[in-house]
Amino acid sequence: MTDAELAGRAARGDGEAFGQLVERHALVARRVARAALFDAHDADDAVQDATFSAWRHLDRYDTARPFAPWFLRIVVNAAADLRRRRAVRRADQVFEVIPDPGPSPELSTDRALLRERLDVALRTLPERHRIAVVMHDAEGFGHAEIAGMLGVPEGTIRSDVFHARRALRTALGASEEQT
Amino acid sequence: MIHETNEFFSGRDDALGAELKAHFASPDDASFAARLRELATEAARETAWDVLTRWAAPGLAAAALLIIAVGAWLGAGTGSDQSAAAGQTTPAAALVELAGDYTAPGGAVVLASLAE
Repeated sequence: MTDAELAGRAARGDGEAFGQLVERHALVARRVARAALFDAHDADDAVQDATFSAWRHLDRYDTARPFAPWFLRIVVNAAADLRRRRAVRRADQVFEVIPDPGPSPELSTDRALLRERLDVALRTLPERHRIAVVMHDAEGFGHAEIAGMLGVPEGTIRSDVFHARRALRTALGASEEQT
Repeated sequence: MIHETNEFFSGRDDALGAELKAHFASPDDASFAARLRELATEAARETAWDVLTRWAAPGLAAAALLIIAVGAWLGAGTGSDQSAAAGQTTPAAALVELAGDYTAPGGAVVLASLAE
């Protein structure tokens, strides 16, 4: 059954169809939320919030269009809302002690080193650049689709992806040179 | 990896995409997707009646409080009316009083008008 068919059933109140539809896009949503928030628990919370929100606003979804961009737009908004709420909560704390995890045992492997460098490079990127490059290169969305999801001009997304790639390739290249 | 030279390149960098996908993947991805499906199905099962039921308890409590408040206010209002009226004579009482006073010149006139 296609996304449009499932969405049509869901819009008529079929909960099973909605569950199936969300499951299909759950992992893309999770990766995008992780790219946005850089916190596994917060990302899962954001995807859950987005799922509830998607159900509440399913009447606004145009079944003639693909479901994934509509759902991911809600995920990105839910991630932004969650970050704002967390920021307020963390601002209330006078000190936040972040324990230093130290070097991971995995670091002995080249693969782990590469992932570590990618992680550091991703953290230095602006959030929109991260989301744009993940949506484009990892999830396969076009610049125009991403622009629609993030509510910015297509040219901005092209620029975001370009700069994000350059930073990430530099990080990965540096890793390759060292190994 | 593809190395484009400007922002107008529209192709995807599949190698970088695979790295990113692996970076944001998690061993519990499959169970997360299943959990989310369950959650979505449950959320969708919640009908308008469920929403109404959920709101019924606080709604009834608010209505009860409102009734108590209005009742108390009306009760207080009636009590003050009674106390204010206690000092006054009602028209019927005045008539009886007037009729009982045979010495009063107006009493016979009132009784005669009632007899007619």
